[in-house]
Formats: sequence, structure tokens, C-alpha cells
Amino acid sequence: MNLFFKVILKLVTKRPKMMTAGIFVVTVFFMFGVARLKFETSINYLMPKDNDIYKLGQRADIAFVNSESFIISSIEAVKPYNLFSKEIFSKINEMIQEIEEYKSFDVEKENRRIDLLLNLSGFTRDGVNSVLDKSVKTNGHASEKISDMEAELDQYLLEKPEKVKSRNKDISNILEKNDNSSDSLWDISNSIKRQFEQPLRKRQSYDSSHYKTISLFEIQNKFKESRDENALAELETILYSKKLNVTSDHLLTKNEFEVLLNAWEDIYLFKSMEIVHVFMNPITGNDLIGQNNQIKTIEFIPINSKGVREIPETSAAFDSYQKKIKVNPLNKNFLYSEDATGKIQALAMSVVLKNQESNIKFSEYFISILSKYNKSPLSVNSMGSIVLEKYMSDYMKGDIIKFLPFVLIMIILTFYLNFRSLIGVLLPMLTVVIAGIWTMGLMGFLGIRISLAVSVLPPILLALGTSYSIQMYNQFLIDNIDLNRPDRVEKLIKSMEHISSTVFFAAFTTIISFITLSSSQITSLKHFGIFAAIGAFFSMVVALILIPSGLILIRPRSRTYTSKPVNQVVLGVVSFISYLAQTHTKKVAILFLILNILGAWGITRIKTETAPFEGFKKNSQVRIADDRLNKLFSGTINLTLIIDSGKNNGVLEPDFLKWVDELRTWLNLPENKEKNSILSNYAYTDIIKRVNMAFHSDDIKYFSIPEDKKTLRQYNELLLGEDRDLDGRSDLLEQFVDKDYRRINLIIRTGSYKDRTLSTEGNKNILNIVNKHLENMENKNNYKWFFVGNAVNMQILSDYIVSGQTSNIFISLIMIILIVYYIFRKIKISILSMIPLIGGMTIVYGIMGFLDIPLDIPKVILASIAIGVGIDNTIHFLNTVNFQLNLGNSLHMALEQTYKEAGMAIVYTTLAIILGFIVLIFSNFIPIVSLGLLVAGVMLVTMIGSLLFLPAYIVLSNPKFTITKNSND
Amino acid sequence: MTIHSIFKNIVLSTYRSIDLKKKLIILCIFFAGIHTLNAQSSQATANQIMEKNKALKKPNLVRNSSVLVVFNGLNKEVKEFNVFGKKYGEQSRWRFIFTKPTKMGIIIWSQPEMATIQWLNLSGNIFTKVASSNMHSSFMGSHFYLEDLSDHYLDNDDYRYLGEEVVNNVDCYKIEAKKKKDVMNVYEKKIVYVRKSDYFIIKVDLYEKKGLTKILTFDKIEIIDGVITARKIIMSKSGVDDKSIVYLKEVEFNKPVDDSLFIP
Repeated sequence: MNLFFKVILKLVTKRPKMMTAGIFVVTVFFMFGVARLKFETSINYLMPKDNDIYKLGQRADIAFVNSESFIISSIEAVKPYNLFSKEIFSKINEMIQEIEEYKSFDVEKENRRIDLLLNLSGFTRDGVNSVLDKSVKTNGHASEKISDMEAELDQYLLEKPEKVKSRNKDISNILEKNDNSSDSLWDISNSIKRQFEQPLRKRQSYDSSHYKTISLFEIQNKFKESRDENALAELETILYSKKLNVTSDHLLTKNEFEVLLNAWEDIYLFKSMEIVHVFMNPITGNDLIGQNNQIKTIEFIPINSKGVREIPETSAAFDSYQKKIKVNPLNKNFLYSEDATGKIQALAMSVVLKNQESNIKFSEYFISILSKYNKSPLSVNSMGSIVLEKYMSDYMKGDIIKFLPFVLIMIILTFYLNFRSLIGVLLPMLTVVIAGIWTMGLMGFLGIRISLAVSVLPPILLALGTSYSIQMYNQFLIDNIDLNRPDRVEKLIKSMEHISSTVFFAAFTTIISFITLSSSQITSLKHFGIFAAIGAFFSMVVALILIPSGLILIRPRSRTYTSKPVNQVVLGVVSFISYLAQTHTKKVAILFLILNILGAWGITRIKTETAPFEGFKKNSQVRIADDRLNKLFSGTINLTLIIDSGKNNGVLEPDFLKWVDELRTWLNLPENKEKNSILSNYAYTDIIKRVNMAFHSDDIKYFSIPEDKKTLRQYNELLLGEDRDLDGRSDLLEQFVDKDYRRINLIIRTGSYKDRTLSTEGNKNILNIVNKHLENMENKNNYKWFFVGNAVNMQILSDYIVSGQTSNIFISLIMIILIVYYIFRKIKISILSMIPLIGGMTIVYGIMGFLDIPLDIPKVILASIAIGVGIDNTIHFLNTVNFQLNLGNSLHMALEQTYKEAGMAIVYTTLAIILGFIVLIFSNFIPIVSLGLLVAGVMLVTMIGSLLFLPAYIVLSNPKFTITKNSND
Repeated sequence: MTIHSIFKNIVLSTYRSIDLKKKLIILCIFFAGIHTLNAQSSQATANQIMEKNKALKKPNLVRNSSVLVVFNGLNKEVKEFNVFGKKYGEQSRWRFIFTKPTKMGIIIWSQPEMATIQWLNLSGNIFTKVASSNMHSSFMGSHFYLEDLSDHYLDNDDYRYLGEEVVNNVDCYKIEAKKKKDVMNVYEKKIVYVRKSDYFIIKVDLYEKKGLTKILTFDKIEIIDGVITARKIIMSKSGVDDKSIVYLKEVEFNKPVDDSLFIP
């Protein structure tokens, strides 16, 4: 091992300029990768991809559109405004008209808008890229089958009977031959490829070389001239989302206009996908009404003959409007919310999006629309998976921007306290920053997204790098090398060689403890594990190259290091610990045992938590919006219950629908809301019941499932509504029933109720009681069911956290024992090395249990950090004891010397790591805040474990160390 | 010297004597004139072709028994129905009676310059008038909209001749039919392919506001009682394999049809 480091160090010290330049070139390269990093906050991204329930969930998204991608917004008037006034409704109408454009794409209108922007600005289209892709996307084998069937049908249906060879066949025979129906979709042993909605054309790039400066006013004026109110609204949304705070007379710079045009292009592409699949709202929404044996669809606010939506003006018109929306029982708590007196206090709109790989970019614009209107006279609170993901993404970005400068300041402080010289700060500082850039850059190039656990990687990388740099630079100072003497290279190589093996083993153990997380089923943890391990490796490599080559190149003067000042406080603490360990050995050992027993008791009280809202602070916008929506509109988290009737068209059987309705009656019991947070539910039965009521002159008595099958089937054929995706079902229906009419999707909305936030435990409780109720229901037709959706996904994640955490700790400890055995060749020392680690983890996890701090995704990495970083101190301590014993010292003398050399370095590196992690308390997420405190705690305890408990047990057990000439290898 | 060259010389000498700005104006007017003439002539050609299509023999009375097959992803669905149609002067009335799998019906009244009226007919003789806003709804779970069941009138669109094209080995005229501003229709425009040999439409590309959405194809064309009839009508969703096919299994023209069938 030493030979390897010798060769590396020789190369580094022989060609320091080349090595340093190489490091900087690689860093510049990885900087491009950093620029490509993206954030990902969806629960789907975290999910283990081979989990059966997850696979079923993916299939449910295909069969029932993507009911998980929803946004629900409450609309209220702020005091003193009246919700039912022309002023308020005009504002609501503006917002809704802007959103409607994402549902119905008008290619000519949108092209006109872009042309107008180009004509005004002098920008031109770059290349020809606006041709729509009309090529038919055939589905290979399936396409051939359809052609074959079509040929047979042609013959069977159109040829004269005597010419048809197989006349005994009927149409269903022809179609069912080779039929694989939608059953194959639900067969999870088959792989499926998710189809995501594509824009109508590729992204257009624009040439800015002929830009003629224009003001915002000119653009607004042009849109006003063309009476394009929605374009004006879109312009405002872009300015809002891109934070372009400019006045109308502001002359837009080329860059500003480019930002605006690119955003316009983004929106164009989203609109062309008609990304809003379902949009329920109190303005353009509609309902069936039934009168005199006739039913018809009416719009809540119809369009007049001039094509203008007539917003009510008088109180009589608003009364009539309220009556209209109150006819349908389904609209209550879905479209409007009443106060205790029965007066409508808020309206609601909800959006379901088409499938997309990621919603983050779209939500940037969409949430800007909603936020833009969330000011007097309107109050618009929005929630749903898309909003939650966007908040998390924004908060994570905010955290990283906030963390990095804080971490850097803390590290500078630590380096300065330790080394008290400019070089002592700059050189290690560069090392940690460069290793961080390499790791994050590699992630960017590999397309790894920053998810919840990964977001804490930058401070971890900086803290790890700090530890290695401190050890190396400290060794250089201890060995007191004069870099102006001719033998400087040889001396430096010897000094660095001495510490390199310590750094190598420290990095190796850290890599081992992090890499065990790569086996995690949770994507975010897997990525964290892999890239924390790679980061540790990069930190080691950069420290091994940059510190020696930097020292050779800079040649700091001898007085800067020969008189390294010793911090008397730190020295005093270390000396006191040394005194305790060596003179009160038994008491210290007993204290360790007691603390571990208490810790183990605390561990039994730990709960897991994956519910998203638990992670946000109470005063955060997310919690405020969620609370408001739960109060007004019952539920913001979807639990999807798929019920299988067992046969095609089975959904159209009255028995099946009545069975579902019986379940829903139970779900709607007040006790389920109050005790279990089951807040509301929606299903296909609602729609059928509404049609039945309409067919009976809107008599509420008939808000029920019809008795006979024939009527039910006819109602189903009658379910009119836009079918924009041309799949034969109205778009509204697609959320609730599959194409075969075999399965329904019962959407159960859960969420916070009064002051009770929906926790993972609460969520688990809901799953259990609904499942139990289903099992107890009479089920003579043997209907089957399963749960999917975010609520179930949270439960799966929770289970994986517990199982993953246990195996991760176990594997890491085994690996560490083996490594320590490899270093010292003594099993006793291997076992002793576990003392700081096990002590650190047991005590800190025990504290978590006693303080009700739940185990969540970010905290899974706590054990890895405790083991990976904690073992560094342990190895450093044991290695130095071994080194001192090899020098012929007694155990007491060896320990004394170890406290002086390694003890001080251990305190400083621990301090650096603690300071690095303590910045996490400024995070927007409660789990990250508590992670910061817990890592600080675990570092402190493992440090005490290394300096107090470990030496006490060394004294008690007096193990035989490996006495060799060179014990460091 | 020919008359043509003399004329050319006069024009050129006059042109050379005018300053550059005026030259540009003349050129613009000249090309605009040519463009207008071309546009007018292409419109005239297109209108003539469509008139010829309109003039094709059409029956006053229709009875047929049909099958609708819907291919939707992995799903396949079959519906059987009978169609009755009758001309009442300018107005045409249709009745669709579905026999399998659900018994129900549709009555349609179409008339030029008036919105089409549709009623859905359920058992128990219940009729439901379809609101004009529902014309975008699917027809019995197929790729046809209710709108597609309405008659199409020449005056509803502006026509433009786009040239000639071969469709399925058949020489066709290609005509753009763009919806007139005041006409209520789901489709913004259509590209119509008219068979050169007999002016029968064999294919229509259907454009909504968002662009091309569906393709309507007329196949298995036969002459029945002197009427050119497509016995296979395919409505395909643009960009994918999904489609709905209507097979006209048995067709009869100008045989008596009971008037009461068309009264809701």
C-alpha cells in the first residue's frame, strides 16, 4: 500500500504544476455537469421500481389517466369583497380562461402570438422546425394484428355469403382471435413502457442577432390591439414566474426578451400537448339538467351569441347561478364549500394533467398563474401532488443555495481555528470545493436528479473533504517540513505517505458505509449512497493530489507551520477526556453500557414517517394552503382503490355499482372523517346517479343506482362530454372507469383533519380499516380490489425504510469489522472499533425514539454517516496508538501521545463536520433540520466514543496490537 | 418581330423610364394581382370540384344495416345498428337504431344554415336533446364525434384548390375546406381528397383548433342503384393505430321508410 502512495506522491511532487492544472481542467469539465443538474421531488421517483404495488400503480395511471397528477385550488374573496360579485367573478374568469388554453390548443392563435413577438423584436426562427409531426406511430405487432382482423372483417361483412369461406364465424370470433385485451396491462410480469404526452412539434430555437430593443408596453399594446386578453395574461404569468419585475416602459434587454420568448415557447409546447386533461371549475364547468323526460348539458356561465361568457352582474343573477351549481349533490365540497349557515364561502377548481415524465417545469408556469391571482381581491390556495412537488423543488433549491455559503463559512472557520494561516485555509478549502464539483458534475452528466436525500449531499461532501484535508495538512505541520530546503520533496513524500494510508482507510470505510445504501430500494437513497461514496473517493483523490502539489508550488514559509498554535480550550478538553478514560476506566465503561441500554430502549419507540406534509414547517405556505383546502374541500392526498368486477362490462351491472355504493356509504360516515381522516371520495357511481336523477326531473330521490342493467347501459352511452383524446369515453369519465368497463377507480381523498396532520401511521390505519371493511362486506360475486396511489406509495416507502435501515447498518458494520481486521489483524481490535460506532448510533437513535423524532428518508443516511465518518476517527485513533506502541512506548504513553496527535485532529475534524451539518437547521424541511442536529449529535457521540469509551475499553481489555516496523500499512 | 415582342418592348421601355420606388410599387401591384387572380382561380376550381361532388346522385330514402367496430388500444368493441334516412326538401332526417350491445337510438335533423338537432333515444321512449356544446362528444364510444353524423353543406366552408395527389393509387384533387367564421363546427378545416374519375370524396383530413386530429377514409366503394356508396367508412385517430370502422353490411336506396321513425 505504501509503495502505491509513494509512487503517486512522487509523481505529484515531481510534476506539481501538471497535476494541479489537471485537477483544474477536470473541475472545469465537471462544472458543465453541475449546470445540468435537475431537481426531482415526486413520490414516483423515490419508489422502488420492482415493487408490485408500484407496478400496479403505473398501470392504474394508464388505465385511468393519471388521477395522481392533480391540483385543487380553493377560491375565496378577501374581506371586504363579496365572492358573488362581478368584480370577483371577472377575476376568476380571467384565471380560468388562461388555464383553459392548456386544455384546448388553438394552433393558429398560438402561432400568431409568437409571430407578433418575433415581428416586434426582430428575433427570427432558427431553422425550419415548425412542421407538425404527423407520422403515424404504429404499434408494430398490434398494428399488423389490426390489419389482419380488418381484412377478415372486410370479407365477412362485405362479401356475398357464398364467397365467404368461413361463414360460421361471427364478428366476435374474428376479434377475439389473437385477443390479448387489457388484461395484459394488469399483468405485472409484463413490462410496460409509459407513453408520455408529446408536444405537436419540436422545440423551436430563435435567432437573436437582429434584436431591436422593445419595451414591455409595446408588446402589451400589440396584444391589446388584437384584443388578445389571454396573451396579456400569459405575458404577466411569464414575468411573474421568471421574476422579471419590470414596469411597462422598461426597455427589455436582449437577454430579458430571450427569457420571455423561451418561456413563451415552453408554454406553447405545453399547450400543444393539451396538458390539462380535465378541468373542473365554477365558470366553464357544466352539468346535466333533467326536465320533462329530456336532459341537457348546461354550462354554469354560458357563452352568449357574441361568443362572450356573460358574467352575472346582479344579485338575482348570482342567486340563480348558486341555485344552478347546488342542484348537483356532487358539487358540494367539490366545486363549492358552505359555511355552517349553508352559505357558499368558497369555490374550487381542480385540474388533472396528462402523463408527463416530470411535472416540475409545467408547474412553474401553472403555479405562477394561480399565485398571480392569489392577491386581493382573491385568495387562491392550491394543493395536490403537482403543487407539493413544486414547493419541495423550490425549497430544495433554496436549501442548497442557503447551505453552501454557510457550510463554506463554517469550514473556513474550522480551518482557520485549526491552522491559523491563509494557506491552511485556502488549500484544504479548494480541495473540498473541487471534490464537491466533481461529484455533483458527474451526477449532472449521468442525469441523476437531486431528490430529497440527495439534496444533503453537498454539505456532506464538503464535510468529508474537510476531514481528509485536515488530516493531511495537519500531518504536514506535525512533521515540521521546511519547504525551502533541498530535501523538501523527500521529506514531504515521507510525511504524506505516513498520513495517506490513514486517509485512504478513512475514505475506504466511508465509501463502504455509503455504498451499502446503493442496495436501497428507494431511488433517492440509492443515488445518495452511490454518489456519497464517489464523493468520498473524489475527496480522497483530490486531497492526495492537491495538498502535496499545492505545498510544493506555494512553499509556505517555515514560521507559518513550525509554530502552529494550540487551542488551549481544545487541549484542555482532550486532556480531561484522557484523564477520565485512563483513571476512571471502569466507571466510563459502565456509563457506556448504561447509555447503550437506554438507547436501545429508545430505539424501540422509533416511528417511521413518509407523509409529505409532516416535513413542512407549520407556518409554511404548503401547510397553510393544505390546511385551508382540507377545511374547505376535504382532502388533498389521493388513495386510489381499484375494484375489479371480474369481467368486461361488469362495471355496468347494477349489483356491482350498488356494492361500490354500499362501500362509499360506509366511507362517508362522520366517524371515518373524524377518527380516520377519510375526508371524501369520488367514483363512477356518482356520475351514474347524477344521470339517473336528471332523468327523473332532478328529483333528489333518484340520486341512486338504477335497478336494471339496460337502463344502466343506456345511461353510460349517454355520458356525453368532450373526448379530446378520442378514446371513446368522455375525458371526465376516464379517471373513474377503464376502457373495458371492468374496473373502477374509487378515489378516496385523505389529508389533515382539524389540527391532525396525516402521518404515515394515520395513513396505514386508513389502509387497514378500509381493507378490513371490504373483507367483511358480503361479496357473493367475488369482486377483487387493491390500493394504489401516493397514499400507498408512502406506506411502501415507510416499509422499505425500516427494512433497508436494518440491513444497511448490519452490512456496514460487518464490512467495517473486516477492514479493521485487515489493518490490525486482531479480532479483538476489530470488535473494540465498534464501540464508538454502536455507541453513537444507539444513543442518538435512542434519543430520536424518546423525543418522538420519526425515521424518514433523509434520516436513513444518519447511520451511514455515523458509521462512515465515525470509523475515521476510530481508525485514526487506533492507528496512532499502534504507531506509538511500535515506537516502543507503553500503552499509557502511547495513549497520551495519541491524545496529543490524533486526539486534537479528531476534535477538529469532528468540529468541522458538526459545523458543516449544523447548517441544515436552516432548511425548509423539518426532516432535514432534525437530520442536521442528529448528525451533529452522532458525530459528537462517536467522537466521545473514540476519545473516551474506546480508550477505556482498550485499557480494560489491553489488546495486543500489531507490532511491525511500519504499522501504518 | 412578333406582336408579343413588340408589346414586351413597349412595357420594358416604359418600365425603365420609371424611378426605382415606383418600380417597386408596380411590381408589388403586379404580383398581388397575379396572386389574387391565382387565388380566385384556385377557389373557382375548388368550388367547381366540390359542386361536382355535390351533384353526384344521392338517394332520397336510405336504409342500411351496419356494424361499427372500434379499435382502441388493446380494446375492440362491436356495435350493430340500422340506419334510416329521408329527405324532406332541404332538410334530411336520420334515425340510427342500435341493436347490439345496447338498444338505443339517435335522431338527427340537418338543414343548411341551421344548427343540426340531435336527440338520443332511450328505452321507455325517452328522448334527450343533445346540446350543441356536446357535438364534440364521442358517438357511441367510437372515434366519430356526434358532429360527424351531421350533413355537410357546401356553403359552410371556403374552398381552396391545393393541387393533385395520389391517394391509395387513386388520382385525386386536393381541396382545402376552411370553416367560415360564423359556422359552428368542431373542425376548423378539412383537406378533402376528391377522386378525379367521378368526383367522389375518398379521404378527408380533419383539423381541429389544435391541428390534424382525425382522418376519414371511404373504402370499398360500389355503385348501388346508381349511387356511389362507400361500404367501409374508417375514422382513424391521427398519429396512432386507433380507429373506428363502420361497415355498411346491407344497403337499400329509395325503398319506403316510415316517417314516424324521425319524430322524437
